Amino acid sequence: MLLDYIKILLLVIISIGTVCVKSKTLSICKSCKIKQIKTAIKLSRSGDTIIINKGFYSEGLITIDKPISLIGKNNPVVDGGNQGHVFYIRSNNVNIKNLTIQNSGMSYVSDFSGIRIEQSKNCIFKNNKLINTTYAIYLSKVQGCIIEGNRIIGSAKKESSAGNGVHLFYSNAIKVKNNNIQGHRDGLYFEFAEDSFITYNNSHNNLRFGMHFMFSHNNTFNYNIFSDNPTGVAIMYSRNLKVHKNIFQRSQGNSSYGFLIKEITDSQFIENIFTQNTWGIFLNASNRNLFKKNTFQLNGWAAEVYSNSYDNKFIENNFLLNNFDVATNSRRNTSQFSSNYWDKYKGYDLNYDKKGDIPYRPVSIFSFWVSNFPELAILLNSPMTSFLEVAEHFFPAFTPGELKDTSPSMLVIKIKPLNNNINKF
Amino acid sequence: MLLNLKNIFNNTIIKVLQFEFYENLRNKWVFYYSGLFFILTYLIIRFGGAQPLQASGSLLSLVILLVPIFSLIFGSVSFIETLGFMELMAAQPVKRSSIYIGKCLGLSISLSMSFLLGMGLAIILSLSHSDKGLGTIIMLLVLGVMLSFVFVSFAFLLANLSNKKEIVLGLVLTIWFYFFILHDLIMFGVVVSFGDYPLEWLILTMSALNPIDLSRVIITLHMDLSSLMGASGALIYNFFGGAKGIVLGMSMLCLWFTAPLLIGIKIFNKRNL
Amino acid sequence: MSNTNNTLKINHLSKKFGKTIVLQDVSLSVSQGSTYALLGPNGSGKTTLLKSLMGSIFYDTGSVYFNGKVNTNATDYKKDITYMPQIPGLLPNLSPKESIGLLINLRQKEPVFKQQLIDDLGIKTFWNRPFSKLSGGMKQKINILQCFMFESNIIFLDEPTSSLDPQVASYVKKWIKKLKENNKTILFTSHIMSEVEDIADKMALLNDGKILFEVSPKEFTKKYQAKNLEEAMVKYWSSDVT
Repeated sequence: MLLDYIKILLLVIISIGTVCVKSKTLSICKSCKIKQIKTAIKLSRSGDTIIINKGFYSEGLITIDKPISLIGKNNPVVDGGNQGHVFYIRSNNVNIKNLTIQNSGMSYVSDFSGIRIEQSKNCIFKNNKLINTTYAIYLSKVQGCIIEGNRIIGSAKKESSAGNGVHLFYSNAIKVKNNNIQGHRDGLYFEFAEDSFITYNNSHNNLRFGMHFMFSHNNTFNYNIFSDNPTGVAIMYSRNLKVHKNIFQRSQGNSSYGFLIKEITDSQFIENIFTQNTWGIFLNASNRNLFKKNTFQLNGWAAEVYSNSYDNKFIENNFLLNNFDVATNSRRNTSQFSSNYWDKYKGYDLNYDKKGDIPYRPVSIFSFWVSNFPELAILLNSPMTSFLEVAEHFFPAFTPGELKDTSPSMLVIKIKPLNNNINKF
Repeated sequence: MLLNLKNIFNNTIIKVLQFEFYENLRNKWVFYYSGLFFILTYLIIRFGGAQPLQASGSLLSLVILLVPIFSLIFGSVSFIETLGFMELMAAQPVKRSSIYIGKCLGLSISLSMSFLLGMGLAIILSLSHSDKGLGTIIMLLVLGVMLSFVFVSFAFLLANLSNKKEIVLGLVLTIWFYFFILHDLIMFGVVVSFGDYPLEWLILTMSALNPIDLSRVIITLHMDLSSLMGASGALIYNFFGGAKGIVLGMSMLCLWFTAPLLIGIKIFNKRNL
Repeated sequence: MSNTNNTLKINHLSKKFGKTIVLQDVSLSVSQGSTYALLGPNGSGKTTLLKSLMGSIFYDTGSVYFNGKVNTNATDYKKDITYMPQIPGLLPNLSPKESIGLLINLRQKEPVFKQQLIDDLGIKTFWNRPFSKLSGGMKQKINILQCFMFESNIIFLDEPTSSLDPQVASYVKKWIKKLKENNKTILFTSHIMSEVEDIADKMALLNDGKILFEVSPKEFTKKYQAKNLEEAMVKYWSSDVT
C-alpha cells in the first residue's frame, strides 16, 4: 500500500519535472522570429507546444511527425492552397486546436484532407474550423482519438468528387463529440471502426448521408442530430450498436430515409426522434433489434420493415401524424409490435387497462401500393385512395393480416423531450 | 394595357356582376352551403383528430368534395333558370359576353364568399388559440375560392351545350365524377401498369390536367404532413414545391377558369336564346 | 329626326333549326308610325321572327333594315328598340325594383313612363317582393313595365295580351294606340283577332315559317264578307283547306 503511494508520488514528480525541464512553447506570427508553422515544427521537440498567432499561413503540405501540440490564437488561418492535405500526421499524441484549416486539394485518386492522420494513437483535434476541404478529418488506423467541437463546412457539389466530414477507417475507441458538419458527401463515415462514441454531433445538409458506417461493431451514438440530408443515417453490416436519443429529421425525396438499417443485428434503438422524413426508418435484413420509446412523427412512412428482417421488436413507440405507419413488402409478418401508441387507432378500452381492446393493423393498402410504386405518392389525399381502402377491407389481398399491435396504447407514451443542442458555433 | 383592361372589364360586367351577387346572396341554397361548411368544418376540427394538423387533411378532403360538385350543380342550374332574364338583358344594347362574364364572376364571388364565411368562421371559432398550420388553412381557403371559380366557369360552359336541363345535369355529374375520382383511378392504373418506365412527366402532366388534383397536390405538398410526397420523385417535388410551386399551380388553376370561360362565351355568343 | 327613315324592313329572312325550317324567305316592311300584326298558328315562326330581329336568335340568310342596314350581332341598334317577351323572366330572388333597376342601368336611358306605369298597373304593392313570389298576372305587369317604360321608336311585342285579365289587356291596347299616335313603329304577334282588328294597320299570316299573305285587317274582312276578322279568318282557313 505504502509502496503504491510512493510510486504515484514519484511518477507525479517525474512528470512535472519533464514538463518543466524538457517541453517548451514556440510562438509564431508574421512579426515573430519564427514566421512559418513548418519552421516551428522543425525546431520543436516531442511534447512542445506551438502557438500559432493570428495570420494567414499558406505553406503547402504540413507534416507532423512528432508528438506536439498546435494551438491557434486569435483565429489563425492555415490554407492548403488547394494542394494535397493541409496537415499530414504520423505520430502519437498530436493535438490541434483552435485553427481554421481550409482549401485542401481535390483528387479522384487520393483522399486529400484538412487533417489526415495515419497509424497513430491518442490525438486530439478540438475546436477547429475546417472549410472547403475534400475530407475534413481523416483517421486511418488510429486509436484513442478525440475529435471535438469542430465546425466543418465542406463545399461538395458532386458525390463522385466529394469526401466525408469525419472519416474513420480501421480506427477504434474514437470519441467524436459536438461537431457540426455540413456540405460533405457523408457527414460522418466509418468503415471498420469499433468501440467508438459519437455524441452531440450535428450533421446536416450533406450530399448523401448525415452518417454512414459499415463493418463497425460495438459503437454508441447518442444525442446526435441528423437533419436535411438526403438520407439521415445509413448503417450496414454491424452489430451491437447503441443508438439512443438521436434526432433524424427532414430527409425528404425519392428513396430518402431518416435511418436506413441494413444487416444490423442485436442493437438497441431507444428514445430517438424521427420526424419529417419520407421514410422514418427502413429495416432490411436486420435481426433481433429493439426499437423502444422512439417517436415517429410527420413522416411519409414511419417504418418500412422488409420481411427479410426477423425478430425485431417495436415496443412503446409513438406514431404521430405520419402519412403511413408501417409498410412491408410481403404478406408475411416477421416482427413484433406491442404497446405502441398509434394516433390513427380508432379502438376502445372497455376494461380500463389503458390498452386498446382490438388490435391495430398499421399497414394500409395505399401504403402498400406507394411502397411498390413511389410515384403514386402524388395521389395522397385523393378520394380515390378511400376506394382502395374499402376494397381491401372487404377483399384483403395485399396487406399482411398478422402484422398488428395486439395491445396498442390508448395514451401517448411519455418520453422525456430531447435537448441535443450543445453546439456553440 | 390599362385601357385594354378597362375595355374588357367594362361597366356592364360590373353591373351584371353586382346584381348577380345580390341575387345569390338571397338564395337559400347559398346560405345552406355556407352553413354546411360551417358545421362540417367545426366538427372536423373539434372531433376529427387530436391535432390541428390532422384536421387540415380532413378539411382538404371536405373542400375538394363539396366545392366542385356544388359549384357545378348550382352554377349550371342557375344559368338555365335565368336564361329568360338573360334574354331580356340581351335585348338591351349590351354585349352578350359582358352579360356572361358578369354573371359568371358574380356567381363565383357569391359562392366563394359563402364558402369563406362558412369555413372561415368555423376555423376562427375553433382554431383561434393555435396558429400552427395557419398558413396551410389560408392556402386551403384560397384554393377553395379558386375551385369555386373554376367549376362555376365549367358549369356555365356545360349549361351552354344543351337546352335541356336533364342533359346539362348529366354532363355536370359526368364531369364531376371524372375529375373527382376517375381521373385519379386512371392515373393509378397507368402507374401500376407502366411503373417500370419513367413516369414523372406523365404524372406531372396528368395532375395538371385536373383542377381538383392541382389544388390537392399544391396543398398536400405544403402541408406539414407532406413528407410522403418526396417519394413521388424529385421532378414533381421540385415542380410543385416551394413558393414557385404555389404560384405555378395557382396560375394553372387560373387557366382552368379562363379556358372554359372563353369557350363558353364563344358558344353563348352564337347561341339562340 | 324627321329625315331618317324609320321604316322597318325585313328582306328574305330564313332560319333553320337543324333540319326544321322555321323561317322561309320572310319579307315584310312596317312603315313608321304603324302597327303590324303577325298572325299564325303555334310554331309558325312568329316568335322566332321577333327574336331574330332582337338578335336573340341568329338568322341564316336575309337582311334587316332600320335606319339603314342592321347587323343583329351588334348591340347599338337595340338602343331604339324595346321588346316584350311572351314569358317574363327576371332574377328570381331580386325584387322587380332591383331587376328593373338593372335593366335601366344597362340601357342607360331615362325610363320616362316608369312611374306612370307603376301607378296605373298597381305595381307598387309588389314592387319590393322577390320575383319568384309573384303571381302570373303580377309577372306580366312587370313585363309590360320593362317594355313600355322607355320611349323607343320600335317596339316588338310577343303575344302582349294573351295572359292578361281584360282590364290590363285594354290598358295595353290603349297604350299601343298612344304609341302609334306618337309615330312609333310596332310589330307584334297575336292570335286574338279582336285585338288585331282593333290596333293593327297591317297584318301578315305566317304558316310553317312562310308569309302566306300580307294585308290590312279591314280589307281582309271585307274580302271574305265577314262581320269581323275572326269570322273572316275562319272562312279563310276553311276555303284554304278545300
